[in-house]
Amino acid sequence: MRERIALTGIGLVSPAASSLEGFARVRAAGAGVACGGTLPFPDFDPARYLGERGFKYLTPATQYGLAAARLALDDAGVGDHYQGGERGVVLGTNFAVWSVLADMDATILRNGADQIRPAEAANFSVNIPASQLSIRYGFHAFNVTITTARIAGLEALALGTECLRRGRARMVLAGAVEGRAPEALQGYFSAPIAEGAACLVVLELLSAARERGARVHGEVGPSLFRFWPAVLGGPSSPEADGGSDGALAALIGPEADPLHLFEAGHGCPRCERLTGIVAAAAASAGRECSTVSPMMQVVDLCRSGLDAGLVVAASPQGHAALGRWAGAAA
Amino acid sequence: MTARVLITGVGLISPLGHSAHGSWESLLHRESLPREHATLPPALLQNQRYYRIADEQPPEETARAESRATRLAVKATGMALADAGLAPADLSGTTVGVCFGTGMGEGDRLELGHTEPALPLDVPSSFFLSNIAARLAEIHGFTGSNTTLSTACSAGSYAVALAHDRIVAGEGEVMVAGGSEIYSRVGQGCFHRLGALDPVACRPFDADRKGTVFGEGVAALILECEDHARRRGRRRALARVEGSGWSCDGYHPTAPDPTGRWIEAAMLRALSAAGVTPQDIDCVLPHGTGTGLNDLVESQTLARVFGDRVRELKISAIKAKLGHSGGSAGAVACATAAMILERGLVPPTGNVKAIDAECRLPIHVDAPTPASIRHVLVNAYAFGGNNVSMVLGRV
Repeated sequence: MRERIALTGIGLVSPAASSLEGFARVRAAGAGVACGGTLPFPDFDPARYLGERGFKYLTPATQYGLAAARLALDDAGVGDHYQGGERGVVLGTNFAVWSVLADMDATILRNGADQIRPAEAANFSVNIPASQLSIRYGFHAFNVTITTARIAGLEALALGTECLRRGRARMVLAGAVEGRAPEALQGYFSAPIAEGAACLVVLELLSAARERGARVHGEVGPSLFRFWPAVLGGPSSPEADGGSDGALAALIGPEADPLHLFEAGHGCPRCERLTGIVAAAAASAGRECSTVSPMMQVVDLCRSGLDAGLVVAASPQGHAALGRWAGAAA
Repeated sequence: MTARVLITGVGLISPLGHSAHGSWESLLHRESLPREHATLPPALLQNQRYYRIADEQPPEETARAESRATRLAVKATGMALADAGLAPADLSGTTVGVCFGTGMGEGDRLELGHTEPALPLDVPSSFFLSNIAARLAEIHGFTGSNTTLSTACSAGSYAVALAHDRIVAGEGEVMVAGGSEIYSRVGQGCFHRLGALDPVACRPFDADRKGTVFGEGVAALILECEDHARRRGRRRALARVEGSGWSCDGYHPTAPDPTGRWIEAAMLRALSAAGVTPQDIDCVLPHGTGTGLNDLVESQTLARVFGDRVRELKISAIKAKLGHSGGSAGAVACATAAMILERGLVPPTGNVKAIDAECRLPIHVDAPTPASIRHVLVNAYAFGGNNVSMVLGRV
C-alpha cells in the first residue's frame, strides 16, 4: 500500500492575504485569490518574516518564498524534527525572474554587463528562489524548480509526495512562488496580474506527522497530469485528444462519490476552456466550483474540511492537472 | 519487481554536429574551441565567446520566426524517435510523457523582443519556459504528463531522473527526457560579471582553467520500459537508466560547498538506487565545467567516493569540446553516456594541457579508448547546489 502523505503546514504571502485567517476572510467574502497576484503588493515587509538583514539583494519572488516558507514551517511546528538531509524543496514558478531578466537585459543593452551588480548576478537563474530556501532553512535532500505553465505548483506538490514515498526525503516544502508577470500578459488575462505571491506547504508522511503530534490540514490523494492542447483548438474533448486511457475517469471516481470541484480561473480563455471540459467530465454529485489559483485551491480545499475534493488546473498551452485532496476532517 | 527502464533512442544537436552520430564522431576525433559571436559592442559585453550550434541561418534571423530552443528540441525529439525505431503506429495506445530541462527557455526570442519591440511574440506561450516541452509534445502528439524543469545547470539530468522515476512508478511506459539551451545574452552577461567565464576555452580540471564557457546544446532521449520495447519487437537499446541520487548543498547561490559532502551524498544515493558499488562503475562523466572551485571539489569528492578505484576509471569531461549547455547539459551528458555504453568507446577530454595537480584525477585526454564499460556515473550540479548523479548501465 502506498504511504499516506499529510499536509501539515501552510504559508501564504499574497497581496490579498498573508495569513490563513486573512485568507479565510477573503474567501468568506466570496473573492478569489490568485497566485500571481491580483493586486499591487506594496505592503509586503520582508523584515517581518526574515529579520532586519540579509535580503537586500534577493528578488521579490525570493523574498515572498522565504516568507511563505517561514510561515509554513512555523505552522507545521516541525522545528528541527527532521535533519537537513531529510528535508527537500520543490517549487513551481512561471515568473519568478521575469522582471529581473528584463531589467538585466536593459542594463546590458544600455550601460553594459559590467553595470550588473555581482551580488545580484546570480538572480537571473529561475532556481534561485528555491536555492535561497535551502540556504536559509538548511534543506539538503534535494532542491527542484518546476516551470510548467500554470500547473507548476501542483506538479511540485505531486513530486514532493512522490519523493516522500520513495524515501528521497522525510519532509518536503512544496508550492509556488511568483514575481511580476510580463506586461504583455496583462491584456491576455482578464484579471490584472501586477505583483507576486507565494504559497508553500509542508508535506510529510501521515504516520510521521501523527507520531510527532502534528496538526494535519489535509491529505494528498492521487493526481493526474496530462497534455491536451487539441482540446484548446476546437470542439474537442480529452478523449478525442488521446485522453481515453481511463485515467481521468479513474481519478474522478464513481458518480456516487461526492466530489467537490475547485477550478482555477484567471480570466484566461484557454485555461478556462480546458478546465471546463475537465470539469464537465468530472460532473458528479456535490460539485462546488470556486475560483482561486491552483496552489490556493489546495489550501482552500484543506481549509474546507471536505472529505473529498478535486483540484483542477489548466494552462494556456494545454497542460491539465487534477489532484484529489482530502480535508482534515477525513 | 522494479521496471527496467531502457534508453532506446537519442537525438542530439550540439556545436559538434546536427545529429547524435555526428556529435559523437566529433567528440571522439575533432578539435573544438569556442568562438566569439559578437552581437554587441565589446564595451557592452566584453566576452561573447561560446560554442554555437551551426545553423542554416544566423540565430537572430531564426528567432524572428521561432525560438531556436524550441525548433531544435522538436527536431532532436524527431531524431530520438527515429533512433528508437518508434513510428506513430508504435505509440498508438501509449500515453507518452515529456520531462524537459531548460534554464532560459525561449530566451533568444524574448531578448530579440527587447531590441526589436515590434517583434510579434506569441501571447501567452512565449512567456512560459514550458513552451519548448509543450511545442515538441504538440507536434509529436504526446499527451502524457508534460513537465519543464529549471534547476539551472542540473535540469537536464533531473529531467532524465524524473522520467525514469515516472516509468518506474507506472505512470507511463514511454517518456521523452531531455534539455534545450541556446545562447542567452543575459546568461552570458551575468556569468561574465561573476568572473566565471574562461576567455580561452572550457578546460575542465586544467591547471590554467579560468571558468566555464557556454555551449548550445539540445538533447532528447527516449526512455522506455522494457516490456513496451519487447511488445513492439524492439531489440536494440543503447543503455539502461538504473537510478539517480539527489541532494542540495544549501550553501551559497553560486559557490559549491567546499567540503563536497552533499555531492558525495548524491553520488552515493545514485549508486545505492542503481544497486551498484564504486567497483562496478567504469566511467564517469563529471559535471566538470572548468570553474576553479567546482572542479576541485568534484575531483576531491570523486577520489573520496571511489578510493583506489578512481585510478581505474575512465573520466571524460565532455564540456571541453561541447561547452556548458546549462539546463540541457545533464541530458547531453546522459545521451553521451548512453552512446559510450552502447559503443564501448570513451571519448577523450579536449582542450586540457596540464591537469591541475590538486585535482589528481585520471582525466581521460588521449585518443578515443575502447573499453568494456558496465556502468557510467553522470554528475550534474547547479547554482544553489542543486545536485543530481545518475547511473546508467549496459544493456
